[in-house]
Amino acid sequence: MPRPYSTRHHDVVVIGGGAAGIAAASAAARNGADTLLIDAGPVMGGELLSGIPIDGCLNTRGEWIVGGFLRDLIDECDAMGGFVGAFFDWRTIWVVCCDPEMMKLAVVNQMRKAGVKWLLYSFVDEVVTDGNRVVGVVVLNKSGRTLITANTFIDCSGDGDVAVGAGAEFLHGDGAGAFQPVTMVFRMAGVDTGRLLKFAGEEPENLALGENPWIKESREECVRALVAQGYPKIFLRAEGPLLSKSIAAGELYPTALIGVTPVSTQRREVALNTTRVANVDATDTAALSATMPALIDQVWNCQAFMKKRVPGFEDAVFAGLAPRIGIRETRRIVGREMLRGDDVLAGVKRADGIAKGGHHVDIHGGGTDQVRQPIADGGSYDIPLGCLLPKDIENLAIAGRCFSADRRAHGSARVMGTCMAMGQAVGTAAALANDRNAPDGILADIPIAQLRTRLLEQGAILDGTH
Amino acid sequence: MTTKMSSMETDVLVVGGGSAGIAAATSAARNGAKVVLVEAGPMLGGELNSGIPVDGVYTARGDLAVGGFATDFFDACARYDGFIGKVCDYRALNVVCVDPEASKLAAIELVYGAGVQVLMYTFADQVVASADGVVEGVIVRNKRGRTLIRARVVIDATGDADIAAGAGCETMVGEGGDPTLQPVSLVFRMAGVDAARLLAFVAEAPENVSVLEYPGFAPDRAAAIAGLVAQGRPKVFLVAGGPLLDTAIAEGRMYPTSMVAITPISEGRREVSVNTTRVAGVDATDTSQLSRAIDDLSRQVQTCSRFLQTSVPGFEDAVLSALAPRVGIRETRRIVGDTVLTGADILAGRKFDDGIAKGCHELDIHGRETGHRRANIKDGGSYDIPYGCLLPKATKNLLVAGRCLSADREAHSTARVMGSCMGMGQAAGTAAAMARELNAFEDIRQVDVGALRARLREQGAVLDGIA
Ligand SMILES: Cc1cc2nc3c(=O)[nH]c(=O)nc-3n(C[C@H](O)[C@H](O)[C@H](O)COP(=O)(O)OP(=O)(O)OC[C@H]3O[C@@H](n4cnc5c(N)ncnc54)[C@H](O)[C@@H]3O)c2cc1C
Ligand SMILES: Cc1cc2nc3c(=O)[nH]c(=O)nc-3n(C[C@H](O)[C@H](O)[C@H](O)COP(=O)(O)OP(=O)(O)OC[C@H]3O[C@@H](n4cnc5c(N)ncnc54)[C@H](O)[C@@H]3O)c2cc1C
Repeated sequence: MPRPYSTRHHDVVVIGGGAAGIAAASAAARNGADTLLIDAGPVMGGELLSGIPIDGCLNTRGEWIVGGFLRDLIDECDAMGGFVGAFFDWRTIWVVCCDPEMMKLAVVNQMRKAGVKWLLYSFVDEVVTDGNRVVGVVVLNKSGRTLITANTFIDCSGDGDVAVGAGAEFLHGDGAGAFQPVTMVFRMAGVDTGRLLKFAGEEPENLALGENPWIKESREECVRALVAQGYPKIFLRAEGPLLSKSIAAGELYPTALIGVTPVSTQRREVALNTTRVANVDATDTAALSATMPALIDQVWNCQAFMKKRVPGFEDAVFAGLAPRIGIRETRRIVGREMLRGDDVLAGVKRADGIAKGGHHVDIHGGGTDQVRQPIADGGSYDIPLGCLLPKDIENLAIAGRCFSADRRAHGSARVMGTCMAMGQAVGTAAALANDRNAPDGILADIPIAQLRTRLLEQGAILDGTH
Repeated sequence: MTTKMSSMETDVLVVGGGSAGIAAATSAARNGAKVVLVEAGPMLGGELNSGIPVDGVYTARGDLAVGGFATDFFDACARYDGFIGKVCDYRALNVVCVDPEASKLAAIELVYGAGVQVLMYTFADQVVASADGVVEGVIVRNKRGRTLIRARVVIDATGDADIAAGAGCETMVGEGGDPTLQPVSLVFRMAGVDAARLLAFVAEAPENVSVLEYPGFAPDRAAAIAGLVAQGRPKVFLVAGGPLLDTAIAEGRMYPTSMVAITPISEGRREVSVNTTRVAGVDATDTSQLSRAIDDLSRQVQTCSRFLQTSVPGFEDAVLSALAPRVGIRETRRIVGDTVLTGADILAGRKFDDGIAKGCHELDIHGRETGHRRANIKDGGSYDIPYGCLLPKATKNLLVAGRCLSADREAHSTARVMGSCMGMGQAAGTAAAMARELNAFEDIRQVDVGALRARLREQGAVLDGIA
């Protein structure tokens, strides 16, 4: 006889502890809801722990477009010496760079301060529904199975596992088997930034620069500004002579980029975003697991390439792998509304926006392929609550990578700054729905004006920017 | 909603991809079996990736006690620039230091390279077993759904004996009716350490450091300290009872702990791992308790890294550089096997005719706060782990390897280290593959131990010839 299920109840249950989930849980708990955060892995933070920078916090113009939880998290990292800074890449975006190891601690600190309860190593196995409501989720872990009931559920699993389990309609990659590649991010320490930037200044044809028409500076001016910024935030591009020759010679695997990002000034350490295996459905666990040898071959190939060919890396050393294979794209849940690529590119504002995005449309393909389209005027676009509410399920919200969007809009809003803004919005909405004035907790019934007011009070940025 | 379950078949199923599981899967595949390895997490290597040194590979006397897969693993680490090698702590152990980032690459290379089919992010949920002790398969859960993996032999390398427990085997926890377990810990790393300054401090204030618990390293404490300093490696065991740690604990600058054990992991990054944090009273098979532990442990990491920076020479300019991928678990369930290795066996350095791996780590039971029981193996030598310690009673085709072996609490505290886990893993994997050759999948005990030992020796294992 298998063990009986145990049970527990919370006001709000958040599934998935990545950028979206931690923001959602924190917002729900700070707004008074008894909140449980569940993650399948051993730590909280998801892709925030991989070393990549947080994109989508500022628009191309350098205006902050995400505040609230993101700010608190940056401050927490900063207090521990784990905030490197916010930088312009002089290509198209501003990035916020933190030390992913301090981030692990910062996330725990933030969850503790918000009063969030958490359950790790726990996989959501089944979703229990009643009509158009989710009644509970069954999680599986070493203690067996637990039926966890709640008034409101927030699916931040990246893959929309709960929404799909509840019967929500979803879109999958491009619908014809193409998915953005999976990537193993890695780190190198002991990088000589001065030399690297000198090289950037001397051979700027290797860099991606000035891709956003809002940037009026010439390539020369861009590279000068990048060098003057003084941090190893550079983007080696496939079309540049260094990469194109090395790829042609078989010295480097085909890739669109080697994105270099500072993660620690003291350790002189950077993260490298470059490895790739395209068109893997990451919800197919056997296929995802099978990418590992190719990814680590690329990691070892690339670190050797950096040492040999890229000035500043001569004495650098391999310093670590991300905790897991990074996943860019799987399922998108179909919501009450769908964010459209055209609206994203046009930077459309809405009176009912509850989060902002500002990252370019950024769709990686196989090999050297990558679509990069800037947002108009270096600005931002608004995301309405309807994109975070699956159609026909009244007490379930979605946030993060699995929200409702077409493929191009997803290519922009999937970044971590935007994920946190979405997370804060739905976490706050869940807490409001849980308040006595909305006993049924129907998320779509929350007055948007009330939600926006609460978000603004708590530091979110919803208007006043390009 | 009813969901459909998929199924697959294999010769050997290994559950758990830690030091024992990677050795088992690789060895079974190299010996011709079709192997599936199931691992709940996103990486292979388990605790090998935490930064702690690999213990139990060399005896205190300095003899190699584990070869075979372990040697291949270290060679692979070296290919990824991540092998420091044998280091003596001048306390009780000769350890092997590797870079935990290279170990991730090494584990992937060896396991996938042997042709093992790996299912990462996959949790073994239920065991399908017949009344007569045959495990027919394991039902696993991952994002794709549920899969019944039918296997001819199953190797439980989960650390927690999940498969044996799921098959209804008898297990033990704690000792003598007391379920107290060793604490859980979060290992962390610091980079930019000045090893020379640290060792100079060791020479100046040796009372803070534990040396010579095993008397064979040097004629006296002074000579041991001199040896440790001359070795030039930041392998330092700051001990409770020494003034530095005692004062810091008394003043609240450190939480109560038995040690701050510092181990070199990378020369290039001047990086060490630190094994010190602890939360006692956690049953790591109770997931809510284990989940909560990261709260206190992450505070201890911050406390200890500050303590090192402010109070330990050599760490002035060092910075916190990483946390282990997960909370480390020392002790949970152990199986009851055909043979139960005992504290008396290990302390006496007992040898067995059916030894299939060697252990040589000290008896090592961490307690609450500053509590810690340690004792040497006789003459700084080794003991044998009998085949029967890997065979759960009343089962036919199930083996265990690693932390969940059949041992009493004292014997477990030594055989749990990663060198011994790799030795056991190689033995279990090889035995499983030999059962296939014999067409004796239904009964793993038909594998002749003499033949198994011969095969293991051929493949580099150390089974005899040392104290
Ligand atoms: C290689 C790479 C580079 C990128 N570069 C950048 C960049 O530079 N800047 C940027 O801002 N963004 C970048 N992105 C995008 C961004 O990292 C992700 O889209 C974003 O982090 C997604 O956040 P999330 O919270 O939705 O999901 P995740 O961070 O993936 O978190 C989801 C969590 O849910 C858990 N989970 C999933 N299913 C279950 C289940 N069934 N039960 C329990 N738990 C579950 C997972 O364990 C995970 O922790 C990059 C992505 C990749 C892969
Ligand atoms: C803090 C600490 C310090 C230590 N110090 C040392 C040291 O210095 N030197 C030394 O040699 N040893 C040390 N040890 C002991 C040693 O690390 C462990 O005992 C050893 O690594 C156990 O190896 P294993 O393969 O049995 O288990 P693990 O390494 O724990 O691997 C078990 C694997 O199985 C997976 N798993 C578990 N259950 C399931 C399931 N149901 N389904 C799928 N997968 C599952 C887990 O995810 C895990 O990866 C230390 C341990 C701790 C905790």
